[in-house]
Amino acid sequence: MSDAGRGKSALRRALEEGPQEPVLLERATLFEQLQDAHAKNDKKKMLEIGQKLAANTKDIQNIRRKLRNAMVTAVEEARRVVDPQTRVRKLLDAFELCAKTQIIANDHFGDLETQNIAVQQYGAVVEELDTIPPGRIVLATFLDHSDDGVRVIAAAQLYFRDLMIEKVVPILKHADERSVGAVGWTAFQAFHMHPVPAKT
Amino acid sequence: MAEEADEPDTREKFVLWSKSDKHSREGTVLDIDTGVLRRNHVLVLRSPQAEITLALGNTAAALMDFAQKGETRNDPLLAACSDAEQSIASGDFETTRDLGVPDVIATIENPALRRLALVECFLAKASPDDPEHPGYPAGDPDGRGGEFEPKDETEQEKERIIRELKSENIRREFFVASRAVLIAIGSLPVDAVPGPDVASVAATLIEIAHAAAEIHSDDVEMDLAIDFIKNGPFDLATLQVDDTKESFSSFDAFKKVFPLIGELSKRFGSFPGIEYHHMVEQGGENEKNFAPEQLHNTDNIVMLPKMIHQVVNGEYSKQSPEDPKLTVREWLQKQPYEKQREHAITTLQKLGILKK
Repeated sequence: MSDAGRGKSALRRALEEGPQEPVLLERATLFEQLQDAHAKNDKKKMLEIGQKLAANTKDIQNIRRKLRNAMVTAVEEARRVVDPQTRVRKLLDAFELCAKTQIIANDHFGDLETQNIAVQQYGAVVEELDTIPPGRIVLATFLDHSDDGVRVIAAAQLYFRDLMIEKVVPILKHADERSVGAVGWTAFQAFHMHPVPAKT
Repeated sequence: MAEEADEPDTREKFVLWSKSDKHSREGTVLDIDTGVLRRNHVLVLRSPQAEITLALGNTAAALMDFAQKGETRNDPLLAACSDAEQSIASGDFETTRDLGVPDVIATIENPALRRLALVECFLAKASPDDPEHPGYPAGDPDGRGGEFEPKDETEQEKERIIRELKSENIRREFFVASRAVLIAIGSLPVDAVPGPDVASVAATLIEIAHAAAEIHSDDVEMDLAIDFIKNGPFDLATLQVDDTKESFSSFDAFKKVFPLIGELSKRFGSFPGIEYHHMVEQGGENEKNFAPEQLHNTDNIVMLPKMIHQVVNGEYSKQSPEDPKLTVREWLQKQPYEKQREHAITTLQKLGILKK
């Protein structure tokens, strides 16, 4: 690590590597200011920063709440659609939203709770898709998706039922070897928690 | 479009960075054999309404960082591009021409696009026929088409590059995984506005002071974890407390024989934030299914910095993508001992803690 790197707090360095969320960067700044005020025993400043940190905590909580609500609403709405064809389309939209949210929750916020809700929600979508012929194979539409997260999460769900193995295994292998964060871990878990089919 | 370019081939690729909305066509960053975006290249498409940047591969991520922040990550290619950029900025076109950079690049106003143009220019120079800077040919099986081929000590150079890329990935992996710390920190009350009385202000101040101390402590832990990752990956034996297999009837019994402090100073220097980690976890179903000696032994327990330990535990707390009703931990505890151990080892390898 360079001396220049050492000048910044370790938490800030961790934040600046990868996706940068303004609320978290603000949090890191407030943490640094609070440590400074604490070292100087500047009580007035500490109270001021404490109030800003409390507001920042609320902002983060609001973001997390919005992410969760959006997923739950999308899945609920999709399930309520009567026409099977439209329901599949809505379920696919919900799957895409949940997949993207999982990546944001994990990689941008380190928010385990929201990431887990995302996995549960797209799990529910896949379960629902399995009840509508031709089943989850419709997720194949995402195998060329421009978003790594959507592509890899869809590939994993097909892989768990040994569907389109020739196409999904290379996608997962690439993500396992090269991707960082939730995308890489999804592929890693797919391979390590589900045996590779013999035909591959 | 770069109308003034000296060489037609060079001019062609600048179409990608043109400000004109007419030039939304494929350029040289696309593999002519497959028509897809080449690994480790960056494709930028611009129109008055939008700018789209596409990248594939780790090197592409480095290119994005270089384009957006000017960071070279000590990469020789990016460092050369950075030098060229500085020459352009100072109007030293003699030097840029010596480097093979056409003057037209200086007309690209957007710094990120100008940096990408420089990288593309340098990559284009790395052709297989170039006697000075041989490159990998298009269609290279490892997707390195267009990259400079190491001239000397090729194998060593390749190994070094792979090592650096892995190390970079692992550091990022850790940083992404450790973000939870920023949210978790702070026993700070959500409403940190004290009441009007002195006692309320004093109570709030005490809480804020606690938070400050906690932040400082986590920052120190994070530094230790970063150093640990930087020095890794380690052999399993290095992380184990002893090389003889000894088993114990409980974790407490294990800790009595192997108190952490002495081991730490011997093994890693000053590492106050080290904790023990059970690779096959203690507790839960495992407590019922396995004898204590299988869990609390020198082969199964390793030493990890506290922050790394939190990250590993975080991975185990995620929902299983195959069965979202279970966490990874719950799923694992339904597996045989050997499967759990294998998963633990591969998880530590993925985080850059253990050698493969």
